[in-house]
Amino acid sequence: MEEESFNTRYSLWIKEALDELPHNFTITDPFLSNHPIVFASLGFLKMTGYTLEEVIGRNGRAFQGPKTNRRSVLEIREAIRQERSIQLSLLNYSKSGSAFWILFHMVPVFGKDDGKVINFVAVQVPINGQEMIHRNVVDIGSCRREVFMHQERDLSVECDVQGLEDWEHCEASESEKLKAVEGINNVLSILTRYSELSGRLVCGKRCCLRGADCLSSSLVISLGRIKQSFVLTNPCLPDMPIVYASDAFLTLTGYKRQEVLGQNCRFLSGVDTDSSVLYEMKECILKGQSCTVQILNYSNRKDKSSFWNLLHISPVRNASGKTAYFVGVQVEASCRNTESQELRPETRQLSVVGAVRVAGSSSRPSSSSVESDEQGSVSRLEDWEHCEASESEKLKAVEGINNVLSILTRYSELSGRLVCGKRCCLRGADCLSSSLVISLGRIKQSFVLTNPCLPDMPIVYASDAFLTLTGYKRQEVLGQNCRFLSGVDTDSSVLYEMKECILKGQSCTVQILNYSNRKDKSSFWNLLHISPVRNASGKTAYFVGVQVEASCRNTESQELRPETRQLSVVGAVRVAVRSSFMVTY
Amino acid sequence: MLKIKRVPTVVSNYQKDESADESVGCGRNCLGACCINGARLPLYACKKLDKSAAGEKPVEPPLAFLESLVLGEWEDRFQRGLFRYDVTACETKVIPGKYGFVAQLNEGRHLKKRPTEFRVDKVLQSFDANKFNFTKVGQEELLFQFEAGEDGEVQFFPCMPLDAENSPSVVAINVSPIEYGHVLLIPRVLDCLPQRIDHKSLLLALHMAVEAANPYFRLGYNSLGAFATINHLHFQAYYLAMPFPLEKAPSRKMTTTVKGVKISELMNYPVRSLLFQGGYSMQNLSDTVSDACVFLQNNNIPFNILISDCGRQIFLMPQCYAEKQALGEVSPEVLETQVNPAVWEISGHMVLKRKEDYEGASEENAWRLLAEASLSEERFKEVNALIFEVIGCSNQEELEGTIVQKQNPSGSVTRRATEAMEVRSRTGLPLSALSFSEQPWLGLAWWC
Repeated sequence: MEEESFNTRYSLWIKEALDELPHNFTITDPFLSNHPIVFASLGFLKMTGYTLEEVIGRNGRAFQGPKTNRRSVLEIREAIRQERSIQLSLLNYSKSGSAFWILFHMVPVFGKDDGKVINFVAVQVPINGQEMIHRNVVDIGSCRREVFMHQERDLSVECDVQGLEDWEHCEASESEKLKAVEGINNVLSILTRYSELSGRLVCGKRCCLRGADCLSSSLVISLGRIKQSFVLTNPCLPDMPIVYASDAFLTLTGYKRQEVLGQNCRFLSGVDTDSSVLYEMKECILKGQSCTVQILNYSNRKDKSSFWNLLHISPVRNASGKTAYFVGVQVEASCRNTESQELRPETRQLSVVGAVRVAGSSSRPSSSSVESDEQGSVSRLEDWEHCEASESEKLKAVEGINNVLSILTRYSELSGRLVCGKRCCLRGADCLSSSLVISLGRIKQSFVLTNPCLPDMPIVYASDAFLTLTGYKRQEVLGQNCRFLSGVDTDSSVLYEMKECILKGQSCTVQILNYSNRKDKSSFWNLLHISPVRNASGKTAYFVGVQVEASCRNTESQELRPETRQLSVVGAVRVAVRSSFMVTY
Repeated sequence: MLKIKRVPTVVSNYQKDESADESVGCGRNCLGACCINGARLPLYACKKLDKSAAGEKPVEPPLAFLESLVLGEWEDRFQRGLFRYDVTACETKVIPGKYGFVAQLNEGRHLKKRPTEFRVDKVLQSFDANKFNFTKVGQEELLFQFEAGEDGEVQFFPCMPLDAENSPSVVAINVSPIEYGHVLLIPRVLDCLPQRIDHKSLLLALHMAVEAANPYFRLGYNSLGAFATINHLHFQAYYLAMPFPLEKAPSRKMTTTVKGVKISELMNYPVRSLLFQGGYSMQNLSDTVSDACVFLQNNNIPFNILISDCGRQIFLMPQCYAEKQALGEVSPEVLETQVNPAVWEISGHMVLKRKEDYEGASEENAWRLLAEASLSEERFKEVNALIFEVIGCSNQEELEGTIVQKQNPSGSVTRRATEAMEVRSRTGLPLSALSFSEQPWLGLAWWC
């Protein structure tokens, strides 16, 4: 499992490349159960005294011990939960049980295409014990310094332990901090290089935006129709990054799309940009107002020229009335066209704002422009009430789709960036955060989460036990509606009952015949419990379905009743989901 | 006599009719003598913790058994509709700022109740059988019996008769939950102990924190005068899967007791608090805190306790809000929010009753409210000095081998205990347990 996690994202020989780095570091995968280490550097193994086999698959907490500061552990846990980087001093334990201070520097690694956390890299720089040893030496007396230095290796461990209690904290030196940062940068650069080769890029900063902020394809289509230079930025994300940049913007500034997405707009400013104008813009954004300024911007065009940008900024609200984006429309001031036949640049600028508003609000409830195109074609057909295709024509259409999909899939496989005909990972508000996945991973029973807000209520999370029970692979079930578990003998009245409960937002327990994909393709009686799960704002975010194979019902007295265990999964999911929506940035 | 008016929290569905309705065989399946015969409830006996193997293998942290039991039984009561509202439908957010106070809008918690007068100038009050107490709750509100086991293994009996003779400790739901999984741990429920810390009960609560094995499941305690509403010994607990601001506050070490319990004071936190951690055994930690609490309650100082980080850390917060309130010294804006700074609020989880308070919640407001509860710097120092003296004294006694008070196995110490006895009855460890083995007594850190 750990092997696989690493190999799918990065190309061959990455481990060898990482092994050449001199740093002590580990790489973990939050999407595997228990957030295990999937790579440990040789330096790390040497420092801790463990073998590679002993480390892979274990959680980073294995290296902490009784004297590790509880607050530091809490801070690391919190950084993981919030998917951000952290640097702190930490007391770790080697295999032999001796404790040593390290400077722990951890950063998340993001997938470039979807902004999801892929890995956490943790570089650990041992904090030089000299200072601490020195204290002891002073106590012992300077005459023993030589002896002491001589035995430094053996003694330092003991000293560590003795001295520990007094040390609430051990501060790393500046050079150690630099070393940690250097380590992180080196590891990141290797990860990036080798992910480039595999085609599934990762990067150290979140590029595309998670959660509610991946723009839906329908919104992107609508925005694509606006042929002027503009960007959308998201004020709800830290540092208000660009989430959309039009082609004209890229032409104007000379940057590539991946260079600007995820960045704050300030990269356009330069030495001669008037800071009072920047301040004015900031004020307007804070107040949620629109403004127009003239500002000196710097391009990335061949001549690296700067240009006067007549910039208009406006907030854009979504369907629920909240400010979802700011739109910034650029007009190169030198290009101001005075021909009477043209719209004034200011008007054109405002027309962009209007177009974005329309796209933004319409794309929320459902999709937009694609549908309206279809409507157009329907209206042209008005005379024809309906024209039914024959079965063979329908089959032909399906065959065509399948052939095209299969070629797309095959060739995407070769490039490493797989596509598929069904929605696998889930877009928009539905990528589960890595912290939620970590919490869910603790629940060792068979269950799935489905999202009632997506079309056909697909599975968005499936536990390992579910995969074992049903015999399917994770990628086969994610994005699917649960009905693939049903078969010819499944009682349709039970399915109906479940559907009714889901529609009413109620929970229910049913006994249902399910069909597995295990080797024997056996069917089994599933004691299924379904419950709605709310997020922190009280809205139903998921349904959880907990499966207990009816034949396995355990009557041993020392065990919890299967019904209780089933409900405990529901409870644990509720706790995890509720808090995962409370993350602050 | 100092009194404040406040709306009591309804923790049981049988609390509404406070007028004594004590007909025999009352028909509501309560815990009274009328109904208890033949009653059965799962029994969870936790493993003896001081001997738990620590640090050998990093144990995977799947849902621990106790956690499954709490969550499963709680969810069952939830689906049976025993709660007054659906707490997961209550909006919750993190207040922007450095500390990350958590605010919840809970409009349903305090409806339909008239304010009642509470005496706040006496931390120890005797048990009053006529007032609401946990022997009056319905059996369906009980989740399971909980006991500190003698064995190295967890023992579980799915259907154990409630033994009235032995006065079981039980875990019950709070029908007005402030978060998912909100339960009450009621030590020896049938003994009708008043709300007062004793060594054995605090140890039981610590056991529960350790066995639940989830850093997001904490236990809390409010003394009388520090916003306990029911004078029947109980602890509270619930799940909130994020750190409390109190837990994040930096601390400064003040002293370490001979038993290795490290005592620190919190820095940069609105409520001046003590943090206890370490100790050579769990009992060391528990006893030290109990000593401090017994001192506080005997000296009529209201306080709150938070047991956090799977039982590794215990926070002790002496407070004076209710007293100030009764004397009219709390600022009106703070009073108006009707937020009572009990253990959860002091820890940083604010339950707000009014929409406008929720929408306008700011770190500054939260800070101002909590600061009102804190002892003054001077008073805090004074209290600390006294606490240290008490703890120091007890340590001294033990070192000289003069501890005589052994814990009665049936746990009847506190039942008999007079106030004077309570001071003496520190359940110190037998001297043999004082070996300074560096044996850590808990598993490894829980790293997400």
